[in-house]
Amino acid sequence: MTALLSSAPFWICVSIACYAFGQKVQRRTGSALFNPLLIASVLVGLLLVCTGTSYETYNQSGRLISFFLTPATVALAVPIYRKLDVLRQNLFPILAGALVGSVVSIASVILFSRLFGLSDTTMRSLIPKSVTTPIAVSLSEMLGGLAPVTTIAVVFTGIVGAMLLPVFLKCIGVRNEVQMGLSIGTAAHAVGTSRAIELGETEGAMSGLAIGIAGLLTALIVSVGSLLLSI
Amino acid sequence: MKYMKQLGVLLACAVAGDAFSILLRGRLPGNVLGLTLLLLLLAYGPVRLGHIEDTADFLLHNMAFFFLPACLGVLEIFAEIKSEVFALLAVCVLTTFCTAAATAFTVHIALRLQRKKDRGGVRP
Repeated sequence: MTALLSSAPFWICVSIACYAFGQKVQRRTGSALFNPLLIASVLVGLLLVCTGTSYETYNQSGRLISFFLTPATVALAVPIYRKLDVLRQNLFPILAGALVGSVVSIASVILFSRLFGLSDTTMRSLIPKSVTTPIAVSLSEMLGGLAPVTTIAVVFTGIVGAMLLPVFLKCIGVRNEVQMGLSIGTAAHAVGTSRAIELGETEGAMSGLAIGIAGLLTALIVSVGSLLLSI
Repeated sequence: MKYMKQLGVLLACAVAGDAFSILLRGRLPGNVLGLTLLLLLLAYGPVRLGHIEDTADFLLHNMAFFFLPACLGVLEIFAEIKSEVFALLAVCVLTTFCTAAATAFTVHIALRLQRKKDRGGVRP
């Protein structure tokens, strides 16, 4: 039994099964609240605690899963390339929106983290939380943040964005589809985009583009910012 | 071999990105540079969509799953952040609204400027 509980294929199977279950729950309920990654995390986490398996043991198989993040992040170039025409036609609003949005995201994280008295490490983990997880996690590690905190903050931000942003943006008077899509994509990455696609084709395309552009711009801002502040 | 070759192209971009990152003294993450490199290679020709598409789509569709081990890492550090959880979630909610509002406002102005410029072009 102990041999089984420390075998990589076993925990990979468990992970896949829990994630597949999470996807099924989301499809049934159709709500962003039931995020497959969160459901799978809770289920696998419970199994680890119940069987007394340490995270270190689990992560020996987990590393085999995490490996795919590297090529998956590079693959984010594909959706940007597919929408290159849309990007060229709307270059100015997309770049301007994603740039200001990214700056405000970083600045407001620093402001509210100080206001709520969060620790320095937690603040550093939250700084890139509006962008897509792979970019956010590498930026967080670069800044000295904690990868798990960043991952959870990114997923939570996506869920909040997908559920509340369409209503919030309508309340503050947003009527234009380009405006709606870019705002959701910049603030709530891929999870928000899944909701933007439901609003309409233009909203979905704009939101999808904003994921990559805001990710790249946030990386640049963080990089330039850390360079300037370290001098 | 098709999927393996495609994975090879993606990994080669990642390795090149890491190399650039070292040259830049880690100022930008290797995966972001790898992404940028692949985008340039696609835009300027040497890599075509068909060279990477199938594996890329597989990886993109399963992106969230690949984060499961990272997410579970919270088990190890939960004691450290337990006292901060609610403040942390509150920061996430507030900043999401700030970011979306700032983006919407900027795009509004950008679209208006663009329209004005277009009209100016028609009537000199």
